[in-house]
Amino acid sequence: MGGLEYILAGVMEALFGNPAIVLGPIVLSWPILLVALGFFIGVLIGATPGLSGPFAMALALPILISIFGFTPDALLPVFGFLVGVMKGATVGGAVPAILFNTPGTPDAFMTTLDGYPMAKNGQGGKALRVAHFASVSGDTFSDIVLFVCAPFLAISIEAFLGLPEKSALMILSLSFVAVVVGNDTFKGILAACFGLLVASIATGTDSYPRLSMGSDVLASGLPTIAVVIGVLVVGEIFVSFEDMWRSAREKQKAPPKIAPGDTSLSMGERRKLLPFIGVSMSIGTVIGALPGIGTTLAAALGYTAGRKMHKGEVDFGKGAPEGIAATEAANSAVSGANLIPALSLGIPGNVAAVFIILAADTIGGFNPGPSVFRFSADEVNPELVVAFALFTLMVAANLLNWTTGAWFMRLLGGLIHVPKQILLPIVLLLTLTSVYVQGSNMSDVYVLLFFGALGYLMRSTDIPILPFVIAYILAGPLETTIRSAFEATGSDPWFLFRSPISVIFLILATAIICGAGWLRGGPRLK
Amino acid sequence: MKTLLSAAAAAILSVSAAYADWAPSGPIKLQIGFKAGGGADTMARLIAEDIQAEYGWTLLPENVTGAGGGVMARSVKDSAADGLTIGVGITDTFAYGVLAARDPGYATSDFEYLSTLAGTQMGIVAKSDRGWKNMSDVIAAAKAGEEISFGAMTPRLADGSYYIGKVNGVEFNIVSSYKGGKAVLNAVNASDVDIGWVAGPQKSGVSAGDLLNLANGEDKPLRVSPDAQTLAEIGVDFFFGATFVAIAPAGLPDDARLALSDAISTVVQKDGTKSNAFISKALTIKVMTGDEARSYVEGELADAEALLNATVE
Repeated sequence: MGGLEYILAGVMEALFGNPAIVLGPIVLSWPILLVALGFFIGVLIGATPGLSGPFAMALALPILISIFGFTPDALLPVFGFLVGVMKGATVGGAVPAILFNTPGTPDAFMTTLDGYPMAKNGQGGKALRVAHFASVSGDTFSDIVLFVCAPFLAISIEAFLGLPEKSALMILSLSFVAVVVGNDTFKGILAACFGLLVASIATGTDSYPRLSMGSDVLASGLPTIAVVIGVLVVGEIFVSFEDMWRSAREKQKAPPKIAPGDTSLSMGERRKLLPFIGVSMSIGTVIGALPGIGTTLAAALGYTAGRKMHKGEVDFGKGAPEGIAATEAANSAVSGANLIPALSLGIPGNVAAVFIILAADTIGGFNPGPSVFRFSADEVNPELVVAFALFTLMVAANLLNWTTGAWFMRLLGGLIHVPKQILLPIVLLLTLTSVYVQGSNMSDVYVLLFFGALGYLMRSTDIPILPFVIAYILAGPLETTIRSAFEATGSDPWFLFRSPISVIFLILATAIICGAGWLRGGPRLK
Repeated sequence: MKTLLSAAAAAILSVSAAYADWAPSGPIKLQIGFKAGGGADTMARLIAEDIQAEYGWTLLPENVTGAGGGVMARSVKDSAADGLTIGVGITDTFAYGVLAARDPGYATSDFEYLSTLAGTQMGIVAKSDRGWKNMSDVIAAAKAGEEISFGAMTPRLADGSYYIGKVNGVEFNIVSSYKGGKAVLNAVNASDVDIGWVAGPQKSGVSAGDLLNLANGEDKPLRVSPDAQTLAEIGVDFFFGATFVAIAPAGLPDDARLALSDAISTVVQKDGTKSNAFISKALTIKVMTGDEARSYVEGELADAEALLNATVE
């Protein structure tokens, strides 16, 4: 099979592979159906203050896996849903930021700066349109970069890097993530090391499951989904409970609701926004391609770059549509590019990528990493077909976003006033249930709660969560690669230092850790 | 073999009156000793689906991984012998695994071997552009000073690699942390290792001429390369194929044992079932039940002991 045939096979697989509804010639496949479902849920979740994309992913992943099972057929519907949520949540976060001055997702904070003033001036609808237009443009651009870069990166890695170089590259990525996320290098490294420690329970090559202390629950390894969801989502819920408990006496004032007002956005106005969108989406894409740096920094950089470029009548911060465009294009451009390291190297760069890798690991049949992009001519490489089908689903989500996103955002304006004290207990209960349903094992629930408590403690001591999660996911491949590199070089203790490429990677890793203070000098917003 | 099978089938049929009435009193837990989503897991789940379809029994598949199948083995051993818990693993776990693990927590005699299910197509694989035609060429290259890395996915295969080197007076760099033959195949393709054990997925690459089975690890010729060098030709008297097996706790009443054994072996061998189609495509059907299955596992145990003794320095 040639390259084009693979792409075609991927598109066909996504569109017709797993039909859910067949009406004569019209086929609606499960993956596409779930992209749509994920997208709308994503917009809704993103637009609800206190919830974010990972909540929906965490809730849905175990349930989807138990519905679709562990066959390769399950991969695309589950990926479709995750992709939909990822994109929906990104665009949805702007709605409350603009209309109520409360960002639905953390990266939408910069959107409030110009969005809310616009809404107060009776231009709320227009602001939503600007946000949507910028967000979708950024997202689409970033996806195109992903489609082009991921295969080339993977192929060159496979061709030029041997086992020692791959090990060094993983060490570099992990150091980068540990340093970049959070405000304290030491705490970041602590979190990453702790992730490696937890991942080493009952893994490894010895026939005795290590660190399991004779317990058969530990001997089969910790349930990965429960660990990740516990730390990421349950921990976050616990923190929100604490916030609510603390602020219970403060009377919460419902934000004044503002009518959308002027909702038009002419072609001329769109054209004027394009330079801002162009700069911001490039920034967002570059940031997204680096593991660990999130949308928040991209939004800040995009906004800063936009302010420098701006010469219009309304200043940034006083209701300039350009400000919204610069922010939204940057934070949306992160999401596609984030999958570049995930798909081509198997290194998850952000939470959405963590969930995609988690789904792939749990379902099986697709191992994100360089071997996915092997264009084998003699036999079909099913993983490559899945990769192109995943790209197709991302395109489908973008199309959906272009056509219905703006309308859906306006529709949501009035719907998102469910108080946290009702919402979060429901989310917690659903999370517990879905994790139980997937493993049908009570010990999974205990693991979930244990890691939820851990996530709470980490958050309250300012230890970043992402390095823990990424190290936990990356630990298995890292250990295997290092072990294999050691063995393949005939047990050479200096295997990491034998090739110039791996030495360069290791020097970079050291430089990043030592130079962390300088890295933090740049713009940083929490 | 065919006659043997039909004889076995006839033997089972003749006692069928004794257990025809046995039916599980509830859902049967099927503990799968492999990671969810792999080929072995798929096979086990398809067998469960087929039994459900043919016999109407409810089977609840569950992945119990860890310690090379050892966790599954311990869990099955500790379950009640009432026919409501069965396991699927490889014979390795009950032969080599018992001997090689520090404290396995189970013994070969702790189980009823209901039926073997499938066999592999184990070969030592290299990319054809390396220029080697068989293992003798590789050994010659190693003797000439080339460093050869050798991928393996189980401790037994790693021992096998070591033993092949030992018998022939060379030392391979054995890379043993691969999980499954597919991973070894990827490593061979990416030139991470020079040669490696692969249990079947090499088929299409070999047919296309990109890959080569340098040697046959099975006791029968490989389907895709029947003329591959045998291990005996390079002085090795062991075979390294893996056999999948369904087990139950020892002491299972005869009627339950025969009914389960019959159900499993029937769906695997019956044309048109999902498991039959899957096994025929990815592996080879290899069904033995009752005493035959037990003596097969015991034979592997003896082989494993011999291999371990032979690799001791």
